Amino acid sequence: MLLIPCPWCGPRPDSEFLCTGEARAPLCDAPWPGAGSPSVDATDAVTETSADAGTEAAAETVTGATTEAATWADRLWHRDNPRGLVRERWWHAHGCRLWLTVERDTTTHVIHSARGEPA
Amino acid sequence: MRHHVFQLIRQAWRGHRDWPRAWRRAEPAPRYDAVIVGGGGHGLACAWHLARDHGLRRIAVLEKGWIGGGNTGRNTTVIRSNYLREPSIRFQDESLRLWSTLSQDLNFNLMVSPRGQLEVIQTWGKLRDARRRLHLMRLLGADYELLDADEVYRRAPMLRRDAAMRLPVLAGAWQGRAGTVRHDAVVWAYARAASALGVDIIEGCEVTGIDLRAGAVGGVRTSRGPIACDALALAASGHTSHLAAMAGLRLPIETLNLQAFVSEPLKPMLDTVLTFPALLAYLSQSDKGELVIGGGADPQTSYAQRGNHAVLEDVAAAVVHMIPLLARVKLLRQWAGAIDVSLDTSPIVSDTPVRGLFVSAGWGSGGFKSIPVGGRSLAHWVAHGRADRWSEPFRLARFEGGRPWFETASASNRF
Repeated sequence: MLLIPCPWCGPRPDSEFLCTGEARAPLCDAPWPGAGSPSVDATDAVTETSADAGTEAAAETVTGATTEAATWADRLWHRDNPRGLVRERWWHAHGCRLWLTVERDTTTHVIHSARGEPA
Repeated sequence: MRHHVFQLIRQAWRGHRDWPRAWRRAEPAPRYDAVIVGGGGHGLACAWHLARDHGLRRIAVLEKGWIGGGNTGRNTTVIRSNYLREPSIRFQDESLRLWSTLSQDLNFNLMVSPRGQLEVIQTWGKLRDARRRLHLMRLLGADYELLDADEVYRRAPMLRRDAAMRLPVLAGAWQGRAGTVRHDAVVWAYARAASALGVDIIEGCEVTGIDLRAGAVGGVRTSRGPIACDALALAASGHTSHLAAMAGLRLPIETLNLQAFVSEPLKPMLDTVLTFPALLAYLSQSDKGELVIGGGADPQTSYAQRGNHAVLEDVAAAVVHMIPLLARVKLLRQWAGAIDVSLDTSPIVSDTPVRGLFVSAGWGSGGFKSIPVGGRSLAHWVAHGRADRWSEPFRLARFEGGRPWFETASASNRF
């Protein structure tokens, strides 16, 4: 059982919370696909990309989709899933019902910090 | 050396002193045609197929620990194909077909036991889900049938049956071709067969970096030195994100703990895999008499390979509630694996934006049963640069294209 140090309620068992996963960039300010250039449907086209730039900055991705679609897909689907420290969002569902950002080590489960702040 | 009964007799006559090593303990070479990261079932199966079916000559499997020390050695050994989504049903059904002859194909006794799976349906939602799967399975030619409650109790007489049950048994679902396989044997069988075809199996070798050249794979840096390669396949389950990040990639997977427990040995009392979908618990009985018990995944991401107590309590409570005679049976061992659950709970067998880099991941709690087809499909990617028909739906591109395959019939999710 993890004890989550809720800033308002003190250390509480993790069963009182809902963990919604790692803190991510909000979806709402990602450009909507099709707002600029036409969004291409997923095809089998394999396009060369620069691995250094990453999927976000590449003009074309392995699917042939546009940058906006790639950004949306990245925000919606991709995760860091780190082996080590992760910044997670926890909601104190059965307590104060406020949101926390928790820094936890995924190899030891040690919680380094828990702050009541936006993601 | 081929395994056969005369070999067994000859070796017994000699006091079992002359059994050779099952696979070569290889030293890493500076360069390979294909490097596979992860010495579990999928990685070793991929290596065997690359050598046997595609004629690749220089293949290495790199394993940071010992082969089969990851999820292939930690699962509850169940094989089945009663999934929800059509590509998964086709994939797993083909896997069942391969499992049925794999001991002969690999010349190694895998103890494939088609003892069937009996799902005990206790809620209307799960019954609707079972009916939907029944129709799709029947359309695809897979075996699946619904049973009434009386038939469930006839096949599993030890189940609780009383008027005060909170979730009475409504029905059952049965797949006869499902069953169990000895998980460790699968690792050793593929390793032995692959090694005999020249595959280098290198243990104690952790990948610490991936070298890229103009957007393509150049090689890997490891704890045992640099290794160049043309093709790199990641088959490292829960550690896939960690490895993919070395190539600048983020993937739609999260690593969770999936626990399993084993009881003290009991006289034979269970001749099938018994599943309680509504309670997220399932069990079977091994040939040693131990009950092998599993449940749903732990809720938070973790690489610790040990589960939390809440899930252990929930699974134990579910099992004891449904099978009251187990209330005083002791649990001998508990462990967990680091499973990579994809965000649509369907597998990812795919190329990536990095040329020459292929990934087999997102298997979640279904990795073991998928080994025969998963390894073959990954090998097809490495050898031909495109998917075979079994893995075509599971490309990474489906996420970006907005076509995920959301799955319900998996222990990884808590739908």
